[in-house]
Amino acid sequence: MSIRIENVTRVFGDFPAVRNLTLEIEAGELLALLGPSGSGKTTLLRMIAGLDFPDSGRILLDGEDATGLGAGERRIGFVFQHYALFRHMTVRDNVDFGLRVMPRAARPSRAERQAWVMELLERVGLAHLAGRFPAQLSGGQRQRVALARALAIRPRVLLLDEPFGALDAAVRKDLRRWLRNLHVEVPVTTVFVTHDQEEALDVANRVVVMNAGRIEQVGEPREVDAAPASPFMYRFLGHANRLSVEVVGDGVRLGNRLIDAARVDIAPGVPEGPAEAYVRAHEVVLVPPSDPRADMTARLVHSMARGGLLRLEFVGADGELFEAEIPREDCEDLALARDEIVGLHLRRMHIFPKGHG
Amino acid sequence: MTRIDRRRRVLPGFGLSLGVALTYVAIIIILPLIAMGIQTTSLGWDAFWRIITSDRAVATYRVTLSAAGLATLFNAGFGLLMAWVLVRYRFPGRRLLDALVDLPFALPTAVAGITLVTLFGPNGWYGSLLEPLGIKVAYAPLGIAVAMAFTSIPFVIRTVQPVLEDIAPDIEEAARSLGARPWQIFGYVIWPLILPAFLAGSTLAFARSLGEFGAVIFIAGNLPFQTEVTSLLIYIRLDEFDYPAAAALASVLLVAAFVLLLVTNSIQIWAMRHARTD
Repeated sequence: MSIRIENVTRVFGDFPAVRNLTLEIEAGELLALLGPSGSGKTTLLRMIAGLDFPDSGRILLDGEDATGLGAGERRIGFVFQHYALFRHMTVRDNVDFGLRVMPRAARPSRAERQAWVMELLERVGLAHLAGRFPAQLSGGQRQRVALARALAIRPRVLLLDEPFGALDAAVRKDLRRWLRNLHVEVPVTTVFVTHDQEEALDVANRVVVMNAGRIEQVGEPREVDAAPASPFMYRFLGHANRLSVEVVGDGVRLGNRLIDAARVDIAPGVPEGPAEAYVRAHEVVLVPPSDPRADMTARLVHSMARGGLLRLEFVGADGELFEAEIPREDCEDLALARDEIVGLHLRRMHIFPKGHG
Repeated sequence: MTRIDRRRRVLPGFGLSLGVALTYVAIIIILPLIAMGIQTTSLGWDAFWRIITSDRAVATYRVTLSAAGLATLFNAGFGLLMAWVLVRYRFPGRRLLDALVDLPFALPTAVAGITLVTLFGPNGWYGSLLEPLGIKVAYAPLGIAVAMAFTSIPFVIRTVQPVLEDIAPDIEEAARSLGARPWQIFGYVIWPLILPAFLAGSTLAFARSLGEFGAVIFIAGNLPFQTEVTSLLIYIRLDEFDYPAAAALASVLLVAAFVLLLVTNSIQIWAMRHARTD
């Protein structure tokens, strides 16, 4: 089912959680709402579910206005961050709940219900725990029960609020893969909220990044990661360095070095004069300090090996922190030591107006 | 080499504090119960049975049980409503109301009794309205129930309230998103969760009502066979220096209290069945 969110605003007291937001979600999509806490992503999700209502704007489900419909009338499966299982019911009864409360005319027979519940439990790999109570399950198992329960009503849309937020790293990774596979098997429109960019980029077909109640960027995971569209995006994705530069023609001046247009991409509407440059950690290349390619020099203060990569932290001439991420083998011939001065060559610089965001 | 005591606890003086606590329990609870038992056994079985099954005694059981039952029914319904209101609604004066709930515990029961008599007496605010309708409260069985209800109000409220507060909003939202209508959410989700606390609170209220003395004697009228409660009969026997008879009757109340305690605990164990983690 497709979802259309039209100019939706939601204000709590005097805090605007969602501001005039418009978004189209296509049928069968696996979409991630990504953003820092307080960016309005959960509020938006709750409004799609009918657990909260917009102060203005409309929400259309399959082209029909559903703005005023309550949660129970939308047939939307919702998975809560803390599972929200009914602790006095067994796993089986939890999954069956949505069927049990159906109006008598629409409710499947007891045998049909039982078969469907067991099929779902089979699918989430918990059939052998059908008689247990939630308190007897691990976090990952509880979350899968919550998913099975949401799927039991054959929802038109599946919504997940920080579904893996309360789980430890290994379980989280498993469940991520599992959710991806599930979406292939059951291609129901799925929207999930997360503040973990890796999770969003890993699982979703499309990522919507939110900031302060608005959409900051929409795109496929690869796109969003490859071409962040704003300073916020650089800061949010992390491992980006901010530098003060001066726009001169179609190049920039960094300190007393001129960097030509080939290595610089200037956002539309940046005037000549002082501006901000963002350089991502993997766009930094280490060179000897005297090398002509060195755009700046810095002192190494910390290094961390992570797989095939080395994360390095430098302090620049003005005391600002600078981050670089380079393949390990590149570093071995440089043989770096702490407090060594190195030259940094910036492969790419992304220029935005000064003081923006 | 110093030996390390592996049984060391965070707080020092475990042995001493346990000893003091047990001594206290022995002096305050266990010894008096034993003394009562001894008093009772001095009667012999026949005399004991005659005393506790005498017509007057049986009449007091009937009066006490029916009044306590009525008071408990009333408090169960009202207490549940009150707990719901205190947890679910935010209104000015809520904290004051919340504090008022404990008043029947804090107030001397004699004060409660006198107040109720003044209100429900023939010339009191309520009494003057109810008597013309033929409803007699003061000096009637109904008055006993009113006095019992007053002193046991807090039990149901104070047991249900924390459980109700504990039900996270997302539990209800989950039920709602799965299509449950409000009465189904209450019936299938909320009610089963608060039922054990509700039953335990009601049982405690009933137990308290069975033994209520101070508030009841002022309003009951205390006519043998009509408005005489068991605890009053015990007092009367004591007044006549008939200690064994008083002890015999008291043992009836004691057994009733133990049975109720057992019921309450069984309810709690049953309620916790889904919290097992094995």
